[in-house]
Amino acid sequence: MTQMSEHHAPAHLQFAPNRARLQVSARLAQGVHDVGAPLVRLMFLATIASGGCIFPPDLSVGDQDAGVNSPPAILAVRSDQQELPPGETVTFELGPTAGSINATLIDTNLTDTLYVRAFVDYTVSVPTPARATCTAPPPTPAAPQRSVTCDVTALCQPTDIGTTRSLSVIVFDREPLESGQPSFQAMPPGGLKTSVFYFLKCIPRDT
Amino acid sequence: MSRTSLLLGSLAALLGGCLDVPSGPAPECTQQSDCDTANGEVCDEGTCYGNPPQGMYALVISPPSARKDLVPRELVMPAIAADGWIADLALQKPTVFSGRIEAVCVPPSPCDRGTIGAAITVTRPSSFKGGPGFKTVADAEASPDATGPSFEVALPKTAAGDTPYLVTVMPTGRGDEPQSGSPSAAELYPPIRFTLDAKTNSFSKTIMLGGADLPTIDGTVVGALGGGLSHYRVVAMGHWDATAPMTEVSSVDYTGSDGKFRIVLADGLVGNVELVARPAPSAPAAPTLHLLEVASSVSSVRTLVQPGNLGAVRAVTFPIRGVDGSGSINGVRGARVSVRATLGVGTTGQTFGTFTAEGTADDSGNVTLMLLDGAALAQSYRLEVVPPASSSMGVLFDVPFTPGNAPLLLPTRIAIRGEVTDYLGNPLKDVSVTARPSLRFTWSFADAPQAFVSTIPAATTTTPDTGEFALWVDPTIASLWGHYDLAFEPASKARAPSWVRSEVEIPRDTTLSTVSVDQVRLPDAAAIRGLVVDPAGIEVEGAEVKIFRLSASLALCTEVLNPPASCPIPANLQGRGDSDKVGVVRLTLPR
Repeated sequence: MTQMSEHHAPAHLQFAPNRARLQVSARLAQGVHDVGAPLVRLMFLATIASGGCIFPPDLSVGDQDAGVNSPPAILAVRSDQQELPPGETVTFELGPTAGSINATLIDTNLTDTLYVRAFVDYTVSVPTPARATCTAPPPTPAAPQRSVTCDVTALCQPTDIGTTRSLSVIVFDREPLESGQPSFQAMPPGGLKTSVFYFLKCIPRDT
Repeated sequence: MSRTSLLLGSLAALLGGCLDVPSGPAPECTQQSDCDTANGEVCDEGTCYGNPPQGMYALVISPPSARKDLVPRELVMPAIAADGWIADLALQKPTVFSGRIEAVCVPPSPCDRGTIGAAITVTRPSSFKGGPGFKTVADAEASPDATGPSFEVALPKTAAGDTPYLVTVMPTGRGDEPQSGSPSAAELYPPIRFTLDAKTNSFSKTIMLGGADLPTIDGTVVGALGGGLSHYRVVAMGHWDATAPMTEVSSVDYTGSDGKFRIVLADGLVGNVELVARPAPSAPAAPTLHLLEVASSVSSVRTLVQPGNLGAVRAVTFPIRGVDGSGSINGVRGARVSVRATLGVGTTGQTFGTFTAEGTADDSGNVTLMLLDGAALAQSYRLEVVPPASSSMGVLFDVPFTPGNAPLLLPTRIAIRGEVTDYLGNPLKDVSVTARPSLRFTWSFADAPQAFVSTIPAATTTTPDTGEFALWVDPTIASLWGHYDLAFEPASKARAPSWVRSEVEIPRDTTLSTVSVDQVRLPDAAAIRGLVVDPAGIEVEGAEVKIFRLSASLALCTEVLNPPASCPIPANLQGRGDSDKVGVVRLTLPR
């Protein structure tokens, strides 16, 4: 699926260098360090001898705020009739018979709530609010993949009939803010988003 | 086993009573006896599958978009076994409809055997009442080649008793402004509509556009003083089916400096047409002109006259404000603002005009619109405002508007509050709750407010640990008190079904700021599953299966004032799921 992931952070952080640091305690690096080293074994034995309990860190994947955030992704978007191939022209009816879209999403940060917004003819210079919104909470039990249904009754407006619009379905992993830039798409620092694009044709209800 | 594993294993054994490793909810079952085996349930994958509720259902199976060799399939009254297994989720091969789109050869002009660019829309109503039906749109290429197909469409095969497909061919180039260079296909040929059966594996058809016998409308768009007006897009709106909404049923034309136009009407129209001349977006703001009751079966000559006293175009900036949750008055960022006016009356033979200016409120809540300041319009402007989704500020509809008048203050919405629980009464977290105007509410309006209601984005929220929710909705629209449907969608993989509470009525009390609904107890969920395969029996990943509960009740159609002629009450969607890597799809049904 054609999509763009965008990091959303204050501009002054964009070019911060990666500084060297000790990786022994990093979760991704643990497997290559020698846990059988004498010092570590001594620490384990001392713990057992003291009779205390070990409270390990949360073992689930990426559910800590301080962890590395990975972008959400859109696996599929479906209308009531069919899957919508990215980049192609999609057709929706005006009004209540427009139905819904169902988005299948994935995020390896298992506790992230995902926010889906559908924008029509959105540009930074002429920003317009989302015409359809829905929220995909993390699945229970935890899993990276989830799906959510968005009501698209208001996706098409009467003035859209007869013209081709741009439609962007965007998934955010932080709730879009009520202020900030870009308008209607700003997120708290660290938030990430991914989008898929379509050409939108709006038609009157047919039958 | 490695040395490290042994060490960790020993430690785990020693400290077994101390470890507190986070885990998800316990599986629903680990053995058959955990499930209701008496009613057919089986324990598998930690879930009790089976014991589906009684009722009449229909399934729609849709292939992933990458599988062009498969088409959607409807399955009415599917076989769902007591253990929850859905039989026969097999997708089918399409019938391939291909062909060419050419112009009718009208002597003495030389015949052009090239193909015409067009959009081909193929639709078929669902085999069950309120189902999503089938709809696909394909592009036909324009080419000078005299042979070979210019389009190809994959359709589900027509079976005995199926309704024929409806095919609409709309020539390309119907934009707001004329394309540069030679005329577009839409300027030369009208659209065409016909029905089609798809009973064989493939078939071909040459679709002919235009013709010497088709009726035409010649005419002129003129100003109030009689001079021709340029930059108008002229088209006829009408019907092939009297019960369907109006659609474009002619070629299009764009006026030049003399204001003249000529359009060709499509064949097979029902009733008269409406002539519509819309100014180009790049031209100065001006009203759209309408002429009603133009005969569609014979050629005619018509003149569209722009009303006088329109004045000059002026940028008008004004604030859109409302009272927020803290009680303070603030600008409503993102509010969609529309100002409309109607000039004249729509009687036969008389041109009337409609003027619309639209904009979106900026970060300060200010909106700028390009309005005409003439006397003919100044007293007839009406305002509509739709705030962004889930705003606590409400809509304005059909409010008299005078540029430069007092600042606008949006009404405050009312909060629908409640609590979602599982069938045992435990609060449910992470349930997506959406409020949308009910069909009863929507179809109680006349056409204009009904269209307006459809432009209001649905309010949505998710429940916290307590299962509570609050959704902001408009208590009244156009003087009608609201009725809303609340749709509940639990988180993916949750052991709760999707559910709708219909017709939540807003009390007729203007002093209320909140309406509480009774505890919403979602029904118990029955887990069902099946295997999606292709015609060769190979599993299909990424297919979608939707299950609907069938209802024959059409009572609403006679209980409301203004339902659409076809009264399209949607079937009740009960669950949807995607097939996994091995083709298995899992769904929940409310018991």
